[in-house]
Amino acid sequence: MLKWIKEYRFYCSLAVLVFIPILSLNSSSKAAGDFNFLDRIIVFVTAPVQALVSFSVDRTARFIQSYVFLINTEKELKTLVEENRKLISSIHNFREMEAENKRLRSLLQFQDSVEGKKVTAQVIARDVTTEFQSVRLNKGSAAGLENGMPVVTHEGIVGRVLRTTNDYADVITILDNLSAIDAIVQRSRARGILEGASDFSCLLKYALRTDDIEAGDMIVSSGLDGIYPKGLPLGTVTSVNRKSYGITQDVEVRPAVDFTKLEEVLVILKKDPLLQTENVQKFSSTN
Amino acid sequence: MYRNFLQRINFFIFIFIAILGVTVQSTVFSYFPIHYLQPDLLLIMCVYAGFHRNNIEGGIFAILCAMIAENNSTAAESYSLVVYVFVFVISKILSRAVVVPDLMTSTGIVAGLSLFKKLVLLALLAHAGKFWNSFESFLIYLIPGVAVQAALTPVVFTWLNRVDLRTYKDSHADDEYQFSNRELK
Repeated sequence: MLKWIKEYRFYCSLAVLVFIPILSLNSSSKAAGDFNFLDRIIVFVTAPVQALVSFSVDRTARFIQSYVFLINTEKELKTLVEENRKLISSIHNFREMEAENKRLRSLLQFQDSVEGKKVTAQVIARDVTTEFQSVRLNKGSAAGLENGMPVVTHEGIVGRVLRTTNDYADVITILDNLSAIDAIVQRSRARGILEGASDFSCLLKYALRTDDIEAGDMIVSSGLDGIYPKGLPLGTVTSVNRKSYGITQDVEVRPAVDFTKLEEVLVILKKDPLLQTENVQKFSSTN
Repeated sequence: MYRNFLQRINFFIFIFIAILGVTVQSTVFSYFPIHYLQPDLLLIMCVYAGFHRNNIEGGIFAILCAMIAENNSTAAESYSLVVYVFVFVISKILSRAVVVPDLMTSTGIVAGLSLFKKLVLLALLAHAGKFWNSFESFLIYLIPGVAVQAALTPVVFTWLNRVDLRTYKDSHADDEYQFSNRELK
């Protein structure tokens, strides 16, 4: 047999070559699902390779796609982050403006309630020493500010102008150790001198022990010191220590103005307190 | 030439730092929730001057610091002058009397002098008849205030030392010290 094949190998090879297309012809004409034995062998051999190649191509394509996509995403992300930052910044600005608007509106309402010239100023710095409580304003003598002028907000009295330059003014607040204001208790009309004590509180001194003062009472300026208009809020009584002996009582007062959040103030330019008294009474009645 | 120039402007750099410090103190530090706890940069600088400057240069620096502080404060007149010049003088005496080997000791000295400053204030308030007004808050915030001051000292001292090194300033500029050094060499 082998001898025969060797003798006719030329024809045999031709026959094999012819047989291959015939096989191909056969496989393309058959219906789906009827794998014959040869098909199965071919599938068995080729399918894993196909799967592997397909998988590799797919992964490569995905990798390339995702890489390209990532480049775009990165760009997009950067743009979005930038946009987000801008938006957050805008939101902060809007909030700040809203808060400022609110404060200025209150100040404006208060300004209307007090007659005479007033100047709005901003607090730009605080006292450099820890023991004294003053603030620096961005308005000075050029804006009409003079020593001794009262400085207020819609919440109440801040202090008085201590010294001025052309463009700046230093204000000694009611919290300062060396500040003293003639004050009265709004409810009982008891009198005393309000002095600064600490970062958060003042003391109403020289109020008689027999005076009717209770926690929660509002302390207002008396107008007798010739600096502050009468009836402006100074603070609220937080505690009263009345001993069974002595002439006076210890009264602690929380300032009406929140000094930690002090930003804009109003300087009352008119110095005659008697002229302002009736106007401030108007303010007191509106509150 | 360049080295000489830097040495000469060192004093002005220190003054500039003091002004910058006061600006920071009166604006950024003022946002401290408790005003009483904000550190006093000028006091630390005066102590530094006490240890690293001669009497004339350090003295002028302390006086200028006091003037800067008084300009930015409504404290009673000359309060800052008394405090800062005394702080400088005490630091100067201490620099002669004791050896200050490290930042820890300097921190301790700053803490002590910070306490001294508070006591001067109490004396001033007592003089004004307002001793008891702030005595309670004084006692409450005394230790935390001094602690804040002490905590900042190593940082400020290190920075000032760096400025001295950059400007070729002899960190032991005391005349006599320099003299004795030259003698030894």
